[in-house]
Amino acid sequence: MSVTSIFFQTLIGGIGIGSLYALVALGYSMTFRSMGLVNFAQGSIYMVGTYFGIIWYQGMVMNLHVPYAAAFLIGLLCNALLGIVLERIFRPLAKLDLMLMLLATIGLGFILDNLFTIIFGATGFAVNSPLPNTPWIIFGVRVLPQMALLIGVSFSLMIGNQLFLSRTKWGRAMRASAVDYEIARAMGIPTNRMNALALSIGCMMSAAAGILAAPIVYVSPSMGVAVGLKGFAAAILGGLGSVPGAIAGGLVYGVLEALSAGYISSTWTQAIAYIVMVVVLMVKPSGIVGEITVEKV
Amino acid sequence: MRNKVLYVLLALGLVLGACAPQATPTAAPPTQAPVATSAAATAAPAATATQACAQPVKIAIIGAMSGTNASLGNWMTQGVTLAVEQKNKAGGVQGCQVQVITYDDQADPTTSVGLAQKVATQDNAMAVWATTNSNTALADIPIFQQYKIPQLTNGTNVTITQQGSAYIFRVNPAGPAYETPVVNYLVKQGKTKFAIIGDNSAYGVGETKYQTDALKADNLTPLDTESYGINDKDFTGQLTKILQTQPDVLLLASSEVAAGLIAKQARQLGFTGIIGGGSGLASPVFISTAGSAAEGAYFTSPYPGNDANDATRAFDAAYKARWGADPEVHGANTYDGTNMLLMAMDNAHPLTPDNVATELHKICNYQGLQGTFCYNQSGEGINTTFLGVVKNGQLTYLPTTP
Amino acid sequence: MRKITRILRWILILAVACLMLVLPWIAQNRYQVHIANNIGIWLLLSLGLNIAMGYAGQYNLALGALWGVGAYTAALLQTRLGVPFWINLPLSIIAAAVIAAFVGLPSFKVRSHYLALVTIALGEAMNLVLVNEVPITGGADGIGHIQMPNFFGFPINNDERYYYIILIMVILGYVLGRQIVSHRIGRAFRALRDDFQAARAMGVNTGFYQILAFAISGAYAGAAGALYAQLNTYISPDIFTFNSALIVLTMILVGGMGSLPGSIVGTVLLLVLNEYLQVFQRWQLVGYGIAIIVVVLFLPGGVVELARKFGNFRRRWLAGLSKGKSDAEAG
Repeated sequence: MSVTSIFFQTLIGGIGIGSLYALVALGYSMTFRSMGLVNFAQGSIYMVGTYFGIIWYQGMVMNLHVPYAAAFLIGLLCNALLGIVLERIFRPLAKLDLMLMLLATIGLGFILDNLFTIIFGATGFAVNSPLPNTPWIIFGVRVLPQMALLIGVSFSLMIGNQLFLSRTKWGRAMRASAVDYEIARAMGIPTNRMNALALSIGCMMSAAAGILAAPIVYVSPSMGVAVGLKGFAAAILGGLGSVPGAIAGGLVYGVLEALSAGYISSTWTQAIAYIVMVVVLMVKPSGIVGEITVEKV
Repeated sequence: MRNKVLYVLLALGLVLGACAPQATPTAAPPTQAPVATSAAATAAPAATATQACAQPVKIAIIGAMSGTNASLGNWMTQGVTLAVEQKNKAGGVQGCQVQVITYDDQADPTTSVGLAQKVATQDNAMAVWATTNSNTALADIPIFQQYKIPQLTNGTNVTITQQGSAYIFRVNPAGPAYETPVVNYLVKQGKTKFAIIGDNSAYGVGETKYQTDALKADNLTPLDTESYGINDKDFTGQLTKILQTQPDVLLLASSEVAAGLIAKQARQLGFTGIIGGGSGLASPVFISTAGSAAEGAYFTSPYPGNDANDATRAFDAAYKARWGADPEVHGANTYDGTNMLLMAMDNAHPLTPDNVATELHKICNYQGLQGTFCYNQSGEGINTTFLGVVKNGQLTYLPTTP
Repeated sequence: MRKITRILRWILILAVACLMLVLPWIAQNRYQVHIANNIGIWLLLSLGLNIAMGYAGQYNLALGALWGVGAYTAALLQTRLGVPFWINLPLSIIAAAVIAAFVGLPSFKVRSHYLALVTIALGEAMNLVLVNEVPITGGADGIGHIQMPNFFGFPINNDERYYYIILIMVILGYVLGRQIVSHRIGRAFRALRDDFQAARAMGVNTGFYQILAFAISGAYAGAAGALYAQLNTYISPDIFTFNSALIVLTMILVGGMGSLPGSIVGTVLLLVLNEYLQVFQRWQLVGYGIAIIVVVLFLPGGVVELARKFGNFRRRWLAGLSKGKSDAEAG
């Protein structure tokens, strides 16, 4: 393998896992920009969404082996409904202190994680890819079809979400409600419903991430723990509340992890990722993209 | 005077705390000497053999029953309970029924230590299973040593039996017994270029070390050693780096799921050599996670499989009938350990935890599911593992050449 | 009226003091003393975090790792160099306070969620140092064979004796905490928390007090760490993580942010509740999650809020009573 193809091989792995983080980070940002709330149960929502979709594909419900694409849509739909329920639960939380929000949403994550452990068992299961398992070789770089699917669908979803927010009437109403809740309300925008829509989109993104990654990773009730924390880091890195920021943050975080594992030291990968993140925030406290101004010192 | 209410609350809390386990609101008379001059004085006296069984004999289990590691605690509970139920059906220990009490430490050392204290001072347990996770097992050792209660574990970390306690018993081989046979076998096949990838938990770091030591004994050093965090899912960075050194053998020091993912990703990155490792690979979870990438992987296991001989077949049938699931290695080694424990309890006269520990140390030539046990003073009882290879998606054991 | 209340209050304080002093004697077994010791160690952590977060508004979620700094300092000094308890304890406090001051440096630049994330990241990075620096820290295997303290030939070798050391440390910690929050430093902390810009405009040296807040929480965590290491005689990195910080956070939020008695109530309540929740086995953590949400939604000020409300109600009731009385006299 040549030096460049080694670099791109490492990079593609980072982009793959990075787009996973990006979709989860989107969940954080959609919730934050609409309700001003950091939902630390996002990792659990990612796990729940994965189960909602994958149990159909795996034939765990009435032995139905639903096609992957259909299972994907079912998972997204179920998690969208979960988003609507969550909006109702979070409404009284949005006015509270940051640490109280943190605690309550972590409590929610506890409930979801352990409920799913009780229902499905702690061990989890592997999922077969609907696509062939032999990688494509492009200029000496090996790309797994499922990884290509993950990256492709993630990017389409992210672009679609951005277009929806900027081009459609609903999207603009959501942005108005995110920017100024009171004025939007005075203008007759149903802000609570807009928040519910924002949360639904966030939850759908997380479900998409989980179902797309399921054949690559492994499905278990604890799968959301690390992804949840890294997604949060990605969202902050990009600028909490910013949609392009979440995407950039996720990709940067994923690539950073892969490159430091491949080129610096795999023992210190996580520490390097953490320190780089701290340094970035020191230099640019509003994150890489950071469109919403942060309370600064 | 809002403070006053707080004081009341505080006092209430203290009283509640003091009475937590018994839930009797009255404070007990100070019959118990609170400051014991030596730890021995507090060792719990238990029902003696001559005494009629007013209370059942207790065996406690401390393990992760909920949270990420819940499988480990559940397997342990199933193996132990099965052995105890069989014993109870046969009349119990010295005419007493045996009772199993389980505690959930969620694999957290702080919680585990608290529960160990509870088991030692409140339950008057005759013996305790604690735990599969090496770190919690290590954290509990000083307590059971202090109270002279036999502690059984199926953790693999070598340091567990190096703490100087006479009350710790391992019911499966220690770490090096898993890694050395694989390495030696592959070296004998003429392989010289090894690379290692393992996680940074106590388990992974330990296995990495045993693999490196085994290679060193054969005058080899790994071409590359990489590590990862236990929650990582993408290993492209590490594997790409490893593959640049062009190893013949990739050794995994990983738990089941991560081992499967690494094997899969290594094959996808074009690795064509041999994959090998310890007990993490001797599991259906590894095979289902890795898929076709598991084919040809070498593994070791202390348990020769459910279809190895009459004993394992009988165990398999009983386990399936009781729990509705196939037994695996953790169920098997806790079943072995509990059978030996019950045997030691039969032989202990009078029946005290200290005597049970003494009897456990005397066990030699006990034929269990994993092979022949013979306990030494540090608490190691068995050192044999079975080498196998994944063939047609099945764990296939190679003919044993000890 | 007031005199009676004061007398009642003293009686209560005395009763609690007596109860605390004789706890090892009235405990039914050593496990209950162990719970009390555990409560004491977590109390130090939650007092420290409450001063930093509740009073000064500085999110220090690296607390778990700082606890570890204290524990590892004590354990290493003791096992490697044979430094006795009463010397390694202050050294652990200093070590954790110094590291905490460094963790606090980013607070000059970021606040709120960002500070929370930065401190989480620094804490986890510190935990990785404990895991990876095997020659120094023993790595993931941890450090065993830590000796329990020995005071001039008198061994503190069981939970009952250790209880008094912890009791002294907790009382010291509480009294010191009270002094800190009710004097000049406390006023500066509150100014910092309530309106940062105004505090700075009024000439408060904000940077100094931010770092001080971090260092104080670190010092408490350091004491808790040294006590933990020498009580349990074995430590490993997986104790000193973000999860531990979360538990402490839960304690002070349940008890009451910005209230030292709140720390006590929250810690005692949570750890005692934990004993009872164990009967739920697998449902334990689900119940825990539900309990947290209920507290946050219905008691956002913590349990002390309940006490405050009750106190207000009683005062109003008393006021109404005396008013009615005076009305009757007038009439």
